[in-house]
Amino acid sequence: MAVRSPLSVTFESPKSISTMPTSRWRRFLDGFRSFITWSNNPTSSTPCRRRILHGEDEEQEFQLSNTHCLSSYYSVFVARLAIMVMLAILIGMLTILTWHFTRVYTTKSLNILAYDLRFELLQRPILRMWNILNSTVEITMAQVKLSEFVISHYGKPVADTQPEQLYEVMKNLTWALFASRKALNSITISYKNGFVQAFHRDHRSNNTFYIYSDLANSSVSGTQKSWPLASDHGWQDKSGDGNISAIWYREPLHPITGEKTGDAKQIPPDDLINIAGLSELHDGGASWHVAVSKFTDSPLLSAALPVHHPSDRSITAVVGVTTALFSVGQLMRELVEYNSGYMYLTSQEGYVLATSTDSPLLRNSTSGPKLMMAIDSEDHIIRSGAEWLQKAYGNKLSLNQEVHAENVMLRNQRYYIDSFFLNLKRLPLVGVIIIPRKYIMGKVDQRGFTTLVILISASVCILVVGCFCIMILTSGVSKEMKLRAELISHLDARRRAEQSSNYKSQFLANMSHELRTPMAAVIGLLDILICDDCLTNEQFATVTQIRKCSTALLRLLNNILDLSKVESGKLVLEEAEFDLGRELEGLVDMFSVQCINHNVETVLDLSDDIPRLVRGDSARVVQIFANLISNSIKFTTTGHIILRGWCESSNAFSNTEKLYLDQKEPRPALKAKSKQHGSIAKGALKKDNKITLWFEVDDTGCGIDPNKWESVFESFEQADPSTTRTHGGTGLGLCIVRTLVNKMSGEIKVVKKEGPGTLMQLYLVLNTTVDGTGQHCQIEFGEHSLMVLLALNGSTGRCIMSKWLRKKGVCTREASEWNELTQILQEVFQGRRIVEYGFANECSTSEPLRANQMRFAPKEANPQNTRTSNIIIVVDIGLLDLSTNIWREQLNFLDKYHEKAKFAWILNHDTSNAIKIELRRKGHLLMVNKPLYKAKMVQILEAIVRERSLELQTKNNTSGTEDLHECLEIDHVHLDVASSDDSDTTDIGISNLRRIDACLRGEDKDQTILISNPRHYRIVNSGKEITTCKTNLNNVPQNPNILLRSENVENSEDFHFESRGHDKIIKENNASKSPELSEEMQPQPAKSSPMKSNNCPLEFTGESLKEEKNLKPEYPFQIGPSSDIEESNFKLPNEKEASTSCELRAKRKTKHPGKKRLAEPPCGSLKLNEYQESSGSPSEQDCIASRKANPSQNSLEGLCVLLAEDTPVLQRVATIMLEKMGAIVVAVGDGLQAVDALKCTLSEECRRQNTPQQDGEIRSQTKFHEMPPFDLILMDCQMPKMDGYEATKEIRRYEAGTSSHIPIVALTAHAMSSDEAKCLEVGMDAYLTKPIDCKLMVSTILSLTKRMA
Amino acid sequence: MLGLGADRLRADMNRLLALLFHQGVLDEQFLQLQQLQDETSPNFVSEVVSIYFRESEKLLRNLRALLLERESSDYKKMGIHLNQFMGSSSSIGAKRVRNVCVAFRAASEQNNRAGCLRSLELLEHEYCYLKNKLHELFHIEQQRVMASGVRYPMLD
Repeated sequence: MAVRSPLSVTFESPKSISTMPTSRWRRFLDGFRSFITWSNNPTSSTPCRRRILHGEDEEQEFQLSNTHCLSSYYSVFVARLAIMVMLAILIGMLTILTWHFTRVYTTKSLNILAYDLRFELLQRPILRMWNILNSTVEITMAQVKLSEFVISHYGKPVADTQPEQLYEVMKNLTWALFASRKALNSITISYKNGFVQAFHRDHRSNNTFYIYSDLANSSVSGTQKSWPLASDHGWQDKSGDGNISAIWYREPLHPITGEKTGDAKQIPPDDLINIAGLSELHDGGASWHVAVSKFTDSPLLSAALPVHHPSDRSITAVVGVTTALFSVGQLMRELVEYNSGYMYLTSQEGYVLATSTDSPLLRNSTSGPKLMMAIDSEDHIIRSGAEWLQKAYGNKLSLNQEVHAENVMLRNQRYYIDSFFLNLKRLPLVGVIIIPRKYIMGKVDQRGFTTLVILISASVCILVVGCFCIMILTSGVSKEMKLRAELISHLDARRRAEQSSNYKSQFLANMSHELRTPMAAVIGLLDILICDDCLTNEQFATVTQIRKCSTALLRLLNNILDLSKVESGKLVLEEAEFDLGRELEGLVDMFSVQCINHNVETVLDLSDDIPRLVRGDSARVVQIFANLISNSIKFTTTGHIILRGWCESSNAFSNTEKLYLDQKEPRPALKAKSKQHGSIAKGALKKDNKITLWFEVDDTGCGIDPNKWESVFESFEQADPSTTRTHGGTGLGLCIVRTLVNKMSGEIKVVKKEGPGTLMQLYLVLNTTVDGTGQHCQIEFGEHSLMVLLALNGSTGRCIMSKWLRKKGVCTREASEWNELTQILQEVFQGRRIVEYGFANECSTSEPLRANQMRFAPKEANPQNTRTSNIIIVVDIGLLDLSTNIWREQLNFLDKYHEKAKFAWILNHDTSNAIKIELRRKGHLLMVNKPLYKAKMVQILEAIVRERSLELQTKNNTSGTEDLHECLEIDHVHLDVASSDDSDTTDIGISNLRRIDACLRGEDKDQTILISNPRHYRIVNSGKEITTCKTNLNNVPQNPNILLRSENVENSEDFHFESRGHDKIIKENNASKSPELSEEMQPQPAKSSPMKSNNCPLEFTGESLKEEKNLKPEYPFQIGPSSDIEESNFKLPNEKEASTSCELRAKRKTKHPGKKRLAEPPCGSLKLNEYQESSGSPSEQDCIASRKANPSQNSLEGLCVLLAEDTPVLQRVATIMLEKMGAIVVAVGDGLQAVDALKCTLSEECRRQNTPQQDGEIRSQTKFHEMPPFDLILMDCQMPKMDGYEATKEIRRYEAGTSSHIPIVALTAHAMSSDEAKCLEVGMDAYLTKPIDCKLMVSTILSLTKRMA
Repeated sequence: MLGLGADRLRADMNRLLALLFHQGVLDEQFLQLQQLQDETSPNFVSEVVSIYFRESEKLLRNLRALLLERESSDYKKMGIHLNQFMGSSSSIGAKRVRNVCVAFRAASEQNNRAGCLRSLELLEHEYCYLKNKLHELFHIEQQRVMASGVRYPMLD
C-alpha cells in the first residue's frame, strides 16, 4: 500500500522492537505520542487521510484495519506494561520479605543473645568487685576481732608497761592475716595512742614492707587520750598532723615468711601509705571508700573498722584494710580479650574504678594521684561512650536505671552500650559495657548484606528476564493478533468475493429461463418475419442474418448457462436408458457432413464390448462428444478425427488392443493408466452395475501446446488466442465438457500423441441396465463365408473397418483408389469375365423402365450365381471421378460384377441426385451415407445376407413385387440407423438432437435451411409428385429457400428426381408407376395406401428430429410387404382397418376443395398443395392418403383420438392441433362422457370391424356409437363430474375383462413429478403438460399407438 | 393501394405481437396457435381466444364471488377454477396471466385471503390488458384479412 497515514507509519517503522531495547522505548514513546495526537485531534488527521485515500475503497479498508491494529497495539502495550509492573511488584515484595524475615528474626534472636551476653559479661566484674569488697570486709572484721582480743588480753588496763608485747603480738597476728590474703594491699592498725602498725605490699616491686611509726610520737599523740568518737576531724587532723610530725619506719619483709630482710628505714611522710584513722569511721560501723595511692596504678578499696575496747566499748584502734582493685580490671581485660569490647566500672559519681583497657585510671595532680572521671579517660572509646551516656541520660544516673542502647555510633562504629547499676552500700557502682556491633552482628550484617545483594540482583535478573519474556510473549501475541486481524479481513474479503461470484453463478442459473425466453421470442419473431412474404431481398437477407446471429447468441447463452448451472450445482443429470452407440453414430453422421467440407475423415470406432444400452444423461453425453468433435473439426484441416470408445474391463482389453494395432504408440501408456483405473472400476463394476467407458477423440489438427493441456479446460481459455480470429468460439466448450465429465464421475485430459494433432482421453462412469449388457451385434458373419472388398477413400476408417471385419471372421480386401479397385476386382473375378460382358453392354441405357427390367433380369437368370457370390463390394462414391463424366463409365465397368457381387455405396451427403439416380437405375440399391461405421456395416451385411436367403425363397415372385421389395431393402439400411431416434428414444432424442442441431445451425448453411424449414422442403418435394413443373416455378419467388429450390428446379427436369428425403423415392415410384406400370400396379394401390398411412407417422417424427433422420424413416413400409419377416404378420389386420379409414378421409377431402379455395392459405406453399389437390388425378388421390394440405403434418393419419377436456379453449386448441396432424378427434367435456364414449365404441367394435364406417365427418359428441374405435385418449386430469384419474380408473376397470388396452395420455397444468407419478399410478400411459407442445404430443402419441399396433 | 395497406397492417400486427412478446404478455404458445390456423380453420385463433375470453370472464366472476361472498372462502373450488384458468391461459400463451394464476393458486393453497384478493386484482388487470391487446390484434388482423382478401382472388 503506497499511501499510508503518518500515524500508521510510526507504527510500522520500528520493526526490530524485540531485538533492541532502545528502539522499544522509542517505539513506546512514539506510539504514545502518536496515540495522544491521534486521540487529541482525530479530526485533524482524518481529513488529510481522507484526502490521500480519496475514493479508494480498498485503501480505506486497509486504513480501517490499520486503526484497528492501532487500538489493538495499544491494548497490547498497556497489557504488557501492566504485566511488567505486576511482575516487578511481586518480585520486589518477595525479595523484601525474604530479606526481612531472614534478617529481622536473626537480628532479634541475636540481640537477645547479645543482651544476655553483655549482662553476663558485666555481671562478672561486678561479682568480682563484690567478692573483693566482701573479702576486704571479712579481713577487716577478722583483724578487728583479733585486735579486740589481743587488746583485751594485754592491755586491760592498758599500761605502759606492756605495750611492747602487745604490739609484737599484734604485729604477728596481723602478719598472719596479711600473708593469708595476697590480694590485700595493706593492713593498718592505728592505735589510740597514735602508734601505727602497717603491713604493705607493693605490687609493682613485689616487696612487702612493715611500716610502723615511732613510739615517741605516740606519746605525743597520746596527749589527746580521750578522743571523742564523733570527732573524726580531730582524730584525723591529729593523726595527720601527727603523721607529719611522726617518724615512720619501713622494714622490708620477706613476702612469704615475713622475716625481716632489711633494716628499717625511716621514710619520708610522702611515701607513706594511706593509714586509716579514726576520721574514716563514720558511724562506728565498717566503712569503705575508694582510695588511691601512689604505689599502685589502680584505685584501692579501703575499709576501716574501729576496734572497741572490750570493756568500755571505746575505740582503741582503727583497722584499715586496703585492697587493690586492679584484679577487677584484670578480669575485665580477660573478659574483653575473649569477647572484645570495652568495660568500665565507675562510682556513682562517675569516677572510673576499673576498665578493661590499659589506660591509667589515675590522674596525677599536684596533690597526688586522683581518680579520673570516665569522661576524661584516655581511652577514646570509653571516653566517647561515657560522653554519649552523659549526653543521653544526663549527668545523673538515677539508681537502678539500666541503659541498653544499640547502634550507638562511636567513632564511626556501631556499638552496644549497656550499663548496669550495682547498689552496694556506700559504694554504688555503675558498670558500663561497650561492645562493638560488629562482634555480635558482624556476620549477620555481612550475610544480610550479601543476601540482600544476591536477592536484589537475582530479582533484578528475574525481572529483566520476565520482562523480556513478556515482551516476547506479548509481541508474539500482538503479532498473532495482527496476523489474525489480517487473516480475518482476508477471509472476509474472500468470502465476499466468493459470495459475489456465487451470486453471479446463481444469477445466471436463475436467469436461465428469463434469458432464454426473450431469445426464444426474438427467434420466434424473426421466424414470423422470415415467413413474411412482403420483405425485400435485402431485408430478407438481413433478417436471416439476424436470425443466425441470434441463434449463435442463444447457443453462447446456453453454453454459459450450462456452465453456470454446473458451477452453482443446479445441473442435475437425468438417469435414463439410452443407446450410446446410436447416439454417437448419429453424432458422427452429423459431424461428418461438416468434415467433408474440410476434407477430414470422421471415424467412429467403438469396441464391441460397449453395452448397447446404458443409463445416464444422454443429452449431456452427446453434448460432451459434440463439443469435443466440433472442437476437433475446427482445428483439423486435413486428416482424420477418430472417436474411439471401449469398455473398461480386463477382457475388453484384448479386443481393444487388436483394434488399435495401427495405433501402437499411445497404447502402452494408456494401458498402464487405464489399468490403474481399471482396478478401481472393476470393483465398482461388480457392485452396482457401474461401468467405466473410455473414449478418445483423436484428431490430426494443429494440436495443443503441452503446457496448455491443463488450462484449455478452463473457462474462456483457448490454446492459441489467434485461433479466435480464424475459428471463432468462446472457449467455453471444453470447460463445459470437463465439468460434465467430472459430473459423470469421469476425467478428461489431453494425452501425448505421436504425430500432429490432439488426443483427448476421457472416461465416464455410467450405469448399465439391469438386463445386462446387450452387445451390438451378435450375428456371426463368419458362417456366411463373406468377403468384403473395401474400396474407401479414408485410410484410417478403412483400416479400422477391415480389422474389425477380419476379427469377425469376414475376409476383407482393401482398395484406396479406382485403379486398385479394378485390379482387385479383376483378380477376384478372373474366371467369370466373359459371361459378364454381355450384360454390361446392355446396361448403358438410362431409361427407367428398362433399367428396372434389366435389374431384375440377371437375378432371375442367374439365381444360383447370386447365391454363391459372397463378395460384397463397398465402394466410396469418392472413388469415382465425379468431376467429369467418367464416373458413368466407371459405373458401367462395375456393372459387370453386379450379379456376382453385391455393391454397397458409400455416399457423401452432397452427392448429387443425378448420381444417386444413376446408381439406383443400375440396381445399386444399397446406399449409405458417410461415414461408414460398424453399425452401418452390420446393416449392409445383414441386408445382403437376408436378401440372399430371400432370393432363394422368392424365386417365383413377380417382378413388380420384387422391385418394390428391392427398393425397400435399401431403406432398411437407413431405417435401423434412424430408428433409434424414431422409436426407442423419441422423448430423449428430441431435446437432445435439438441441441445438436442448434450447434450446427450456424455452421452448415444447407443444413440450417433444411432444419429450420423442413416443411417447405417437404412441400416442394410433394409438389414434385405432380409432373407439372409450373407449380414449382410458381413457387420460387415466394419461397424463401432459394437454395433448395434451385436445386429442386434443377432436379425437376429429370423425371426420376431423387431428393434427400428417401421416402420421396417411394412416392415417386408409386407415382411414376401409376401411369407406366398400371397393369403391374393394379393390385398394389389398396395395399400401398395403408403402407403410406403407416409410413406417415414415422415420416413426421423423422422430420421433427433432424435432417439425417429424415432420410430413412421407412420402417413400417418396409416391413409391410416383406411377408417373410414375422413382424409384418400381425400388422396386417390393422393395416386393413387403417386403409379403410384413409380412403374414407380421402373422400371427405374431396368435398372440401371449393371451401378450401375460398379460404386463404397462410403461405404460398399451401396454395400449391391446394392446386395440386384439385388437379390431382383420382389415382393420385388414392395414393396420397388423406388431406394433403401439409404432408409432413399427416403423422397422425388414421388415428382416432378421444379428447377429454373441460376447458373449451384447450379443447379447441388440442382438437385443431390433432386434426392438423390428420387425426380424428372426438372431444368430450368431462370424464364421464369420455368413459361413456369409450364404452360405446368398445361394445360396437366387433360389428364395426366387419362393416367399417363410411362417414368420417362425424364429430358430434352424442353419436359415439358411430365413431371408429379410439386409438388413444387425451385426458385432462381436472374435470367436473369425473376427473381424469377417476375416468382412467373406470376405463381400466372396464378393460380388465378384455385384452384391449387403450393408451391414455394425461394432460395436466401442474408440471410436477408427483402429478406424473399419480397419473402413471392410475393407469395412464403418458403424461403431457399444458401448454401442449405439438411435437412432444405427436411423438408421445406415436410412440403409444405404434406400440399398440 | 390495398395490397400496401395489407402489408402495413401486417407490419402493425407483427409490431404489436412483438410488443406483447417483449412485455411477456404472450409466449411461444401463441405462435404455435397461429401456426395451427390455416385455410381449414381460418379464424381459429380468434375463435379460440374468444372462447378463452368467455370462459375467463366466467371464471373471474366465479373467483370474485367466491372470494367476496362469505368469510370462509372455498379455497378448493377456487383452486379448481384457477387450474382451469391456468390451463386455458397457458394454452393460448397468455404468459403473464398464467404467472399471476400461479401466484394466485399458491395464495389460495395457503388460504391467504389477502394474497388472493391482491392476486385477483392483478389477475383482472392482466386479463383486461391482454383482452384489450388481443382485441386490437384481431382488429388489425381482420382489417388485414379484408385488405388481403381483395388481393388473393386477383392472384389466383
